[in-house]
Amino acid sequence: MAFLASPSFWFSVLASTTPVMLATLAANIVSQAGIFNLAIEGTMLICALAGVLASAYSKSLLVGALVGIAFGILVSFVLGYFTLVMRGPMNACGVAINLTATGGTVFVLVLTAGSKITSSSLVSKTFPNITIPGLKSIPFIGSVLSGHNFITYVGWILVALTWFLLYKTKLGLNIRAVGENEEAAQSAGINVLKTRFIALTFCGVFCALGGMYLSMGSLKSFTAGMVSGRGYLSLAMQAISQGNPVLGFLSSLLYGFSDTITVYLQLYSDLDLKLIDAFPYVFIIVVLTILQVSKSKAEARRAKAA
Amino acid sequence: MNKKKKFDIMNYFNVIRIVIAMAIALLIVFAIIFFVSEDPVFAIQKLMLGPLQTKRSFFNVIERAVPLIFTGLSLNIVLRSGVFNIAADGAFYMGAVIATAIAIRVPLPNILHQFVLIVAAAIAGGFISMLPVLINKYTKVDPTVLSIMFNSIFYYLGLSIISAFFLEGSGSWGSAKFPADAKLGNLIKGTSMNYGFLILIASIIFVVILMEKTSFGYKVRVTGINPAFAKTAGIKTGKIILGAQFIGGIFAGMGGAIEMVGMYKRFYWQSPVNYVWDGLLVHMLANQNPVFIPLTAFFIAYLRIGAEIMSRATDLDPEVVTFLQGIIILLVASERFLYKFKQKHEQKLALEQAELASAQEGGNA
Repeated sequence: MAFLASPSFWFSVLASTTPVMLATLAANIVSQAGIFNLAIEGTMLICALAGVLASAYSKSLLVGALVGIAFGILVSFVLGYFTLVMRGPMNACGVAINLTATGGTVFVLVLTAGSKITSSSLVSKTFPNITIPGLKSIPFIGSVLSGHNFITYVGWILVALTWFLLYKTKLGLNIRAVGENEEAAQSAGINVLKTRFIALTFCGVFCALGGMYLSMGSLKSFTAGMVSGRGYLSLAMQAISQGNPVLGFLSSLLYGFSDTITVYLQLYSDLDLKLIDAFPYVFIIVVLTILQVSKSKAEARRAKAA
Repeated sequence: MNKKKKFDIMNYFNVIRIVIAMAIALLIVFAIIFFVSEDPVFAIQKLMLGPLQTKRSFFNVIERAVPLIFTGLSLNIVLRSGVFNIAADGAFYMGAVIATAIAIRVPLPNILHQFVLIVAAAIAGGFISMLPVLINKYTKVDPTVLSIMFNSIFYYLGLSIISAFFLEGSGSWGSAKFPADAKLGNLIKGTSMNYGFLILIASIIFVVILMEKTSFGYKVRVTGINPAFAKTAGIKTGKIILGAQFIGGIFAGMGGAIEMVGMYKRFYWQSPVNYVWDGLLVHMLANQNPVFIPLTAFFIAYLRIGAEIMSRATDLDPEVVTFLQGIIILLVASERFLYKFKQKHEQKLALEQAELASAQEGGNA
């Protein structure tokens, strides 16, 4: 376990936290608006491919990023249309989008890159890694915090901005009001449908960044099924953080930690490789259970005292 | 008599809705094929008629429908309790793993061997299916999310159990071969139809009776439709939901075992089976009625095989049918899809009844 003291371990923790952090941020903001978005997984996958294809064909990172974000918003609006306007159950509609995303991205990948597995035959753009000059020279902390991908830093800023948006602005108040009690919000003159679609817009942008981080940041190309459960995990993180982006970031760090330790354990031990892939899921479920049980115990104690 | 007539129209509406949803989805998929294929007419022909062209591909459709019927039945019980739990995938995979383990390691005589491995897989499936709901009690994480996470966990667990204990060294990845007394015998010569088919038919009859004719089925349905009402009516909803997960999981686990020892010589599933998504579609297309599940499973299996035949004959990937699946689920799930049509019908019906009532009143007076 000596690797726990090395800066490169903690650098990897932050890097693998990034996509889940953005997905959790997406889950946070829609959950605050009272939407259960199971389609985060599929939305990220679609955006990961859309960004790669658009940047490969336009030879421009900016176009790729914008197309990816546009697809994120579009897919979130499709979910919004079918659940909020057509009144479909949110989980069934989410499943439908994920299913289409899983198969549809492979279908499009075959058409464009000629492979069922990867887009590596296309030359696509990637977001740059950024070295922060002053920070870099600090020992340990510098090599942990500096040199991350552009999207990682954008993500950290977005966590702070989303927290501000939700708790310090009128729009945030409206979003939370709609999620808390739809009818009360409506009678207070809030346009419920519009507010929810605004939340879905943010959700789409965050999913797009999370997806593009995978295919245009940490990897240089799209791989089929590359989101691999991060979107679902973000919904578990949302259960821990209860809509608070800062707590959401902290709980994503839990995932980043368990994911990185999995990689390191595979390098340093002779444990069965396949079983260890399940570790992040088991870890998250165990942590959640412990947190929730201790929370309800504390509540019971408080109720007794009162 | 009047009441009966009204009931018929409502039934009709759901069927019409589903058929229109299917038609729209097919049209969109045809449009996609027209857009990307060099010879779209040929591709569509292969997709729609391919499975009928040889006897072998037709039986392939039936083979493919069997696991879909098992997952469809499983989801029928689970989802109608009102919990969107899709752990059936993990249950199906682990069912196959447990069947493999017992087939290879536990020496038993013919018939008893198959019986033991199917029952063990079924019970394991039941417990796996209960897990998300149990954990949800303590963590408050949505059971849907938990069930998806558990599907990954059980996939990795099953895969590593096979790799650690049952792998056969030579050649491609796979377990040792099943002994003859663990396999399900052939039912029709020249096809891979096996005795699992009889278990399947018994399962369909069991689920239909359980869900439509027994008080347990009634309680599950009421709990699913209106849990608050169910509680005030004295139904122990927590227990009913758990029971529904367990019984639903049984059919998924059983399906995994029967698929494994019925269709294969050895275990070689190196990727998640993902039958649960097809099972969900089968369940929704059947209008939640288990009687129709064999029919809708046949339809989905037909499209899957058709897509595979199409992809072998053309440049298109068979994944094109997932568009179809997604669109059908979205449309069938949407409460408001064709809502106006229904509303108009109901208005007309109400008007007719009012006229009838006033006419009767006039007659009486």
